[in-house]
Amino acid sequence: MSAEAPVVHLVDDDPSVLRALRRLLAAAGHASETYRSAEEFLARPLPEAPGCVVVDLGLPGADGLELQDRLAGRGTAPPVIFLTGRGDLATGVRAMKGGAVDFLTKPVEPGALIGAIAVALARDADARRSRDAEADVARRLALLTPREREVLDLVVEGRLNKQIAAELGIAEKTIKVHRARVMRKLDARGLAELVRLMMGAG
Amino acid sequence: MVSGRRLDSPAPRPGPGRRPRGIAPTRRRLLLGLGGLAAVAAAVSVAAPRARASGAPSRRFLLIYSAHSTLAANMEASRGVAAVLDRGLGADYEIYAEYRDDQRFPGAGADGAFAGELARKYRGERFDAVLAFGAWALRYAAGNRDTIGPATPVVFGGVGPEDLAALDPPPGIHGVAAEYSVPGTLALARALQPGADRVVVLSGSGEFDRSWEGRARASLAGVTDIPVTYVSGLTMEGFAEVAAGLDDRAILIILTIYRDAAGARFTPANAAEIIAARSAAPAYGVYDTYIGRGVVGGEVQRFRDVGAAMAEQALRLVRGEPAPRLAPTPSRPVVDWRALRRFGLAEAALPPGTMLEFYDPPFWDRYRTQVLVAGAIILAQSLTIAGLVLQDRRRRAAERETASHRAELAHMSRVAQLGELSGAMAHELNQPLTAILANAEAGAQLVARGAGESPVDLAEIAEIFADIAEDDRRAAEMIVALRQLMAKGETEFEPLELNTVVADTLRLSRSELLVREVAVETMLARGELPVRANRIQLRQVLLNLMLNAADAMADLPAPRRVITIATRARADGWRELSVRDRGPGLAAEVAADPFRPFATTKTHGLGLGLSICQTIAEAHGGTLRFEDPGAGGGTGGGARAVLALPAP
Repeated sequence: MSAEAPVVHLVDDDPSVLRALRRLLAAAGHASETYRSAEEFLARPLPEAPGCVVVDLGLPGADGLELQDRLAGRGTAPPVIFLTGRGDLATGVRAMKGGAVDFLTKPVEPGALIGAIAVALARDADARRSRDAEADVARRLALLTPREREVLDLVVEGRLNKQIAAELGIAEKTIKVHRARVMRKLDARGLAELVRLMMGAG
Repeated sequence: MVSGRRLDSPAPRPGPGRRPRGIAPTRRRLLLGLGGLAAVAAAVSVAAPRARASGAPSRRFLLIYSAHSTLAANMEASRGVAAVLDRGLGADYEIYAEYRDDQRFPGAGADGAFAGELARKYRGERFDAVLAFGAWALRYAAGNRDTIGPATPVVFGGVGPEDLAALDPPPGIHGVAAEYSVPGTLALARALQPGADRVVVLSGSGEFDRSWEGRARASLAGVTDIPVTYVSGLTMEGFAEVAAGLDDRAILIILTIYRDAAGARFTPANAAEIIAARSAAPAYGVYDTYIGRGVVGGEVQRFRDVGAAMAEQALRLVRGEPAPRLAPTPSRPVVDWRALRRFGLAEAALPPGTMLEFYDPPFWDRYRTQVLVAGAIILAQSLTIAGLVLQDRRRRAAERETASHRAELAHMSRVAQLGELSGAMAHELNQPLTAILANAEAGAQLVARGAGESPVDLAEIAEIFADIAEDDRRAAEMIVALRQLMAKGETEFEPLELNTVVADTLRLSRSELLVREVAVETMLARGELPVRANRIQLRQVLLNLMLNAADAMADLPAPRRVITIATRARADGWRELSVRDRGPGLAAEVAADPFRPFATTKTHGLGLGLSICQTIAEAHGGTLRFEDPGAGGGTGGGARAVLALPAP
């Protein structure tokens, strides 16, 4: 988990709404950035810090759904919470299918918004954690020699040392050595953890 | 029946229900001396001209009356004749009438003179039928058939049974029987006096009187269940005393008294009058002539009915239809309304078909026709007046309706527009509401936290309150706009000064403009610009235009955000108010119709605001247009909204 404090990105064309929401989040202990349009938000590189986006659905220019789409296209998108003046079901469904954390109707209950932001930040943290874990596994796998990688793949497939030895045409004793090295390099304590790591690395 | 007294003298009593009275027989056996003139004369005068139009009338009737022409009975009979002939022949007949007046001029000499006169007068004339009224007339017609034409049918009426028996009319002479019904009179009495316990029948000492008593005894035998007492052989005073000694449970029937026990002579009607006046019991009679002289009524023959029956006979004969030698004359119950009242007898108890005589009707009944005519005239006048008033009202109402329709239409279109805009409206309201709620929550948390360790940031709190107030104002403005949009009916217009409205609106929007970091410069016309407008709506328009201008410049650096508000009087007298921004100018698609709802590059607010503005401008008889002072859409030359209002 990153040490950086999460940031809530507020996108709304109404400055007074932005000001008020920013204040509300500050009171709840959240740092926030405000943007007057989707374009303004998208113009910047994706924030490094963890966080989420609270966007008004009916923005001038690119609207909230478009922002969501474009973020998704960039890969590691922060979770999105929608605010709308007109809560219509079709838009809500589309937003939720696009991975939105929540779809809140203005005037939004502060508690509901804070709650949704908490969920969004947790989801972001989760995503970041799993991204970090994947990166760690990949980094460690890179330490393996080709032979060690071969052994690992077969171990994960569930083969016994004897079978691996036969397949690779090397001594079972040598397999055991490779296997111990893999375990050490991947920091895995047993077969089960090894399998889990490998499945996460997909 | 009558002796020694001529009955031509008694004129019928004046009264609304006048009816014929008084027969004028000079001889005792002469029952009815009929003769009538007036109605016949009228019939002739009416019938003749009508008939002449198509040549000579096809039917001619000679009416010969025994009595004189002004005798009411004759007149009644004549009416009966005329009524039937009118009905049967239309106008196509002629009546000739002759009156012997045998009571006032009796004697063979007068008979001969009259006969000679008729012969001379009608020599060569042909009649289709001769109607003989009374015994003398019958005797004449029967004895002078050669004169009147041997084949000419003769119909007589008003001849009593005794005269008839004496005359024994030869074949070819037809007539109407004079019949008198004692049982019918009793039935009428019983109907009127259902509680009667006895019947007293009076008759005089004369020969004819006694014959009447005999007929009554014969016809009443076994007819009634209450005892019948026949009183006769008394003097008039005696009869009167008997009548006075009765009570109202008795039925008194007066037959005829030509002569009393003392030998005094009376006419039956006179005798009946004397007795009825003294009688304590309701008195009834058998002659039409009694009615109106104090008796309650009786089943009698009407002279008019006799005339009608004679005419019916004559018509049958003229047409060659079979006719009885002696046709019955219908008798009917006739009642004197005054006597009915005197004895408190119920009108409702009268048998159907009863004739009510001497009816003294209430005002309404008596003057019904006059009242109806007068009422109709007044009604017609009133209707005319009402019609005119109504017409005027309708015209005014139509005018009002047209105006109201116009307002309604405006309202409808506004409501329709509103439906379209309600989503945007909700969003407009939700923006400030969202901000208010968030601000309030933030403020509450700041204060709550401040109660703990660190001191409350009062500057922050003040800012929050200011923002809340501002957002609240925005929301209120939207509601005002909403209400105005939905407001039905006339808008209140008042004389306003345009520059003052600008100043007022600027004061109201100062904080908003400050927040938006927008500067306002004004180029107001010198002097006053009076307009006739709704103050709130005019402010609404200006505010919307200013906010729109500020929005258009939101992306500019603060120093370049300038709104220019100008007012001027045009050469044509119209007043112009313009709001210009320094923004990018109208995008091309918006310039085409900036007022179309949602015709905006922004999602919120703008489109709605301008729609309202345009509606308001039109309601004021003015216009709102957008100009691109730059070379074209989106060139950065800014946009200008121009509100033009007519001079007041």
